[in-house]
Amino acid sequence: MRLVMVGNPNVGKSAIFSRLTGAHVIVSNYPGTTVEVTRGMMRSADQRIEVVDFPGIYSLEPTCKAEEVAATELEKLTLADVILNVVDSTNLERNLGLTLQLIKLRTPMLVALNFWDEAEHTGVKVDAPSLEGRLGVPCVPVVGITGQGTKTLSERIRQAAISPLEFDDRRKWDEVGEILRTVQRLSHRHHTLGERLGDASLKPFSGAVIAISVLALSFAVIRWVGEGLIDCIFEPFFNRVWSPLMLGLSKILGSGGWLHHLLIGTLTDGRIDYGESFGLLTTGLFVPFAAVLPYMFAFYLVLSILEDSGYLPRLAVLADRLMHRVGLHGMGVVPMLLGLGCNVPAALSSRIMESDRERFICITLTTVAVPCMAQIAMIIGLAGQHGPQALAIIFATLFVVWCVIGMLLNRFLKGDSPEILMDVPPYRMPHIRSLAKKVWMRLVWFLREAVPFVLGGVLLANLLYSVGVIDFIGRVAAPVVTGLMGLPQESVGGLIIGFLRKDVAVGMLAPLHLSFRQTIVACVVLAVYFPCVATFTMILRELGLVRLLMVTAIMVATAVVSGGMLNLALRVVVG
Amino acid sequence: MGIRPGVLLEKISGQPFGGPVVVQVGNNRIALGFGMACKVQVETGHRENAT
Repeated sequence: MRLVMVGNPNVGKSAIFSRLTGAHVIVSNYPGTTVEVTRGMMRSADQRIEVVDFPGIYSLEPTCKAEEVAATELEKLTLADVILNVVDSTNLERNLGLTLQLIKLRTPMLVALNFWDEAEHTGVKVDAPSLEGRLGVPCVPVVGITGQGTKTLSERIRQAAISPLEFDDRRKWDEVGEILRTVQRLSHRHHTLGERLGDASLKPFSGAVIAISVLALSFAVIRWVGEGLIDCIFEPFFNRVWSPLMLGLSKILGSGGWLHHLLIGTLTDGRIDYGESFGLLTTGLFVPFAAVLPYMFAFYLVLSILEDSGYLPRLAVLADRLMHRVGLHGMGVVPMLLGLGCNVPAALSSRIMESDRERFICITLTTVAVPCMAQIAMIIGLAGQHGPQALAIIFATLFVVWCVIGMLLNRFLKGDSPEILMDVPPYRMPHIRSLAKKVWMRLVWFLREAVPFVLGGVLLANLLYSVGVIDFIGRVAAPVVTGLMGLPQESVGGLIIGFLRKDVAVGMLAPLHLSFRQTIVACVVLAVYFPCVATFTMILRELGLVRLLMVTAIMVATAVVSGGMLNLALRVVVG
Repeated sequence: MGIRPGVLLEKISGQPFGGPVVVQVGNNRIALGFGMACKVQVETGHRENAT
């Protein structure tokens, strides 16, 4: 038996899914968090049930890729399936529109009335037993995020029934209206103070002030938490605990030889410099754990708070006009923000965009000009030594690249960008446990994905250097790398390893002791020139081979042009 | 998404220069592009604003 979860976007399907199955899924307060089908198992009355969570849909006719995914799965329903229709109790009218469509599918069904607590607070009284009587299927009040009512829900799955309700399709909304008249009581109320304050974030002037403050505060918190963790915990640990251990190991290995070179790398004045030694156990562990993880944690903490509070859709409204310039609409800010964490989930979340054209632009922009947090952390470490102006030039250049590529794509790709049409969910207080779980999941995901690739990258870098491949490619690519971009020949190693992991690639620049100008050019070129292998695979899956090659061609061209121009400009300005 | 003939709309905000408009329909708020908002015909009442 399968339990298929269907409902409007942002009604809390994923929260209930994770309660029923115990599976770890991302839950946020904006429409379009879930963009693929998720499966899990649950047990009800000693029966094993497969639970399937779908992206949200407004009706059975899909309007974007994520809805398409749900609609095609719904066509595959069999007699052994049960539909769990999750509805938002605070918005019963609109939700019941879909419920009535689902009833026509003639599949056993039950209804979960989610946000039951919020409905009570906002003066919406729903009579669940009487709704159950009208629809002829079980209707269970639940609060997905806290798990209230989900036990009853799972017990009542076997009572799921085919609704006896008969109505004319054209009179669907009249039917909804009639049902509501008997089951829902609204106590009239004025807008609360909270709502009025909330609306300020949607108004043009106050909204812009709030957006700038929120983004600036987010940036400050990320920097403060990330740097604080590095300075107070991770660096002291590596310097005081790990270094003595590694120096001991170095002695055992006889302070030399290939194994020593591989595990410990090179010592600087008899000490370990984690930026330069490039051994598997030194730089290979230092990069993911001490340099990147703290920033990852800080970033995902802030992002998750923004997601759960419901601020992102408001930012989408404010950014809508800007995003139209680059051929997207406001919701495009979501993949861009996710891309600052990692480009892989960003590429996946492009499914919330309606057309193929938008998805292509969205994925191209994130991969070309939105550096991931792993890379940003390394850039801050490397270029930060040259002062804040180096960082400012790097990120400003990336922003300009983002704008230019976006405007060019918007101009030369056929079609135009659809208008925004999006639910603006109410502000909600982030639920601490679910927030902590989300941050934890994302960090585990990062470590699982990153550590093997970082170690692989360090290993490969060592191999390529010792075999002489990097020297060879360096000489071949010299006209572009040395001539056009003004970088030393050895920096080509970073460009090669960048395909595996961009953080390691930036790390490879450290031993080269680049100048102010070279550091800036190298960081920008590394950010732009090629997607890392994980992103590469995801783009292949989402866009197909032809368009993957197009994205890649755009990236390489952008890297050469922006690297060359930046080199020239900086030569003129700083010499 | 809940905007149908006969429902009550309240305009919450509008961005300048043809940006999106946010309206309240029942208990939810919907952001819609300017072009779309222009196509919504409303009769103004004492608490409702036309877009």
